[in-house]
Amino acid sequence: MAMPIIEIAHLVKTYSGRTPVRAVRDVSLQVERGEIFGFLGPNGAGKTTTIRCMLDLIRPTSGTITLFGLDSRRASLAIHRRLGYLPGDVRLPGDLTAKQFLERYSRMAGQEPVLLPRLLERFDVPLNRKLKGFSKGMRQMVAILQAFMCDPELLILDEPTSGLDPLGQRTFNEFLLDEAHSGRSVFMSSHILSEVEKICHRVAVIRGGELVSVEAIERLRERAGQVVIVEFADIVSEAELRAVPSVQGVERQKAGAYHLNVAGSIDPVIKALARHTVRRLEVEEAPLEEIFLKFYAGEGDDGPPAHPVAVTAGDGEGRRR
Amino acid sequence: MTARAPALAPAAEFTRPRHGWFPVLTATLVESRALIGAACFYILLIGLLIGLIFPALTKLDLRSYVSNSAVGSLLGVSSLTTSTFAAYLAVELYSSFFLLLFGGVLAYAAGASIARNIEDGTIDLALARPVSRARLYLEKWAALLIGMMTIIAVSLLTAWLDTLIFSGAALNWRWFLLGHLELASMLFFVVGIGLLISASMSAGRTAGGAATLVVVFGYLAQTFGTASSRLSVLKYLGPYYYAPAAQVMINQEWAGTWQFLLPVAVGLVAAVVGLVIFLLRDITP
Repeated sequence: MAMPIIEIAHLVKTYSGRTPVRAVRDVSLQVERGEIFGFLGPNGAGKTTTIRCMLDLIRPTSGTITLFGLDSRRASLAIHRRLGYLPGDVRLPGDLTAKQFLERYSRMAGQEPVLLPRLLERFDVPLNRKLKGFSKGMRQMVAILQAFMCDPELLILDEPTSGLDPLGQRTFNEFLLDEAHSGRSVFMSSHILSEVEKICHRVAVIRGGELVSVEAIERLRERAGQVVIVEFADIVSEAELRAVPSVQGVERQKAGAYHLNVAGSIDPVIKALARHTVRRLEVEEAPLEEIFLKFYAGEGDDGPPAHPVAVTAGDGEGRRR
Repeated sequence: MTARAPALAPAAEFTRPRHGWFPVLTATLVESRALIGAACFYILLIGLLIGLIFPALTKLDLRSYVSNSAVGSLLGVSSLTTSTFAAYLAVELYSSFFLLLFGGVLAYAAGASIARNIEDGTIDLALARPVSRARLYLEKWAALLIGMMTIIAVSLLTAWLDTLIFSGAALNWRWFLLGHLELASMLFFVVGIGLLISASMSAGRTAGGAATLVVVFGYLAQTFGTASSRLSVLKYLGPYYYAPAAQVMINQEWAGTWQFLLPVAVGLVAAVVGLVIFLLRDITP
């Protein structure tokens, strides 16, 4: 089996101080080559701390991180030659033009910005304008250019579409998918759940510094189930629909119309509906947003994760066992 | 977003990146150019002005003015034994009151150098490249030392221009250069302290301000230490006592090698401690 491009094992980060804060608690995960891996969690969950540990900007209290099979601390220079990073909140130097800014960071990389022409075809950035005159979305585009321009094998992106308008977000997502098809690996944190659902192969959810789930999007879709929208010509009671196996929830829309949340096989539902006169029937995949939000709220982490998950909170705060 | 042709042909416009270009050093020089430039402009302006009005100055009895202990303490010149051009230049440019300005400027630049980049997040971009923390720190240090040497070079150039342009503006270059060596010793100390503070903090203005405060404290310690015999112990706390640039130029007397080396040693130790802190700390804005 190929070596994972990112491997985090039992990562713990405690910020010392008068009241030490345990920002990350025993997090373990792996990211495979060519994968777009989403890293989700509410504000303050530990996403950025984990990312900064991966980049050796923050030193872990314990645990190990390897990227490309190399230790993130001991071989940081060799690792950083092969990755691109987009910070979550970067203030670009306003007195530089976009071109000067990109030149500065390609010099620091010691590499030519070979991908820049391709990037500029997608992201329209005025290179000769000073960055201080740029809008937030434009600055984010420049930051995206610097992350991708030197053709990195691995991208670590902290909320990459933050500040981009919907059109910019779509352009970025399309670009990311194209890059992943060409074998590039991506580790990205995001708050935009629909975006994660569309572009990520797998997602991890972190809450209170602990990993509560690492799952493939396909598996989450299975867990999310389907939504059946049905309209009857005759009278059907809500109780009858609730009694159907695999129906998890029933929402009455108007007289004779229901939304059924179905988990598992849809067959019993179809058979139950066939006993009545159906005027309209639609079957849709349930949005993953609900599942993500349940994870955020601490309600959805009852299933076993696909990868080993840290479980020792250590402070008795009653998080995941 | 529709694909649009960029306004410029991008790849061709980019200069070929080279490893040997010291990008952090260049960036630091660019960031601190306004401060260093202002210090250099001030030196040039005052230096040329002194040359211009030197004939008039000789008619004034500045010696009695400076020999007043309060004024002497404020300026940081304990005695003015001669009325030479070098003496007037020393009082107006290299006494501790004026070193407070150059030192303060350099201290602010040094104090803000790393902390500002941590605060605005640009250090993340640099350290996510194949740039080690040690290299980043050392390039910053080198840039600040270049800034320091620029200030000294402009000072020497100004004095040389004075001697070329204005009649009577003669200098004993040996003692003038030795005075600048004392100046360099003091500024080296300032850079070291500034870097130590910068490496320990994550807010640019606060770190720059803290480093400047050290210079101000040194000046106040020197002033009160020389103004009052009861507080004379204070003068040993500031760098000015150990690097009396003006006094060397005026008296043509070397203050002592250990006195010269002490600020250099303290500046070196401070910068190395700053490096260790920077290597070990978490980079968090």
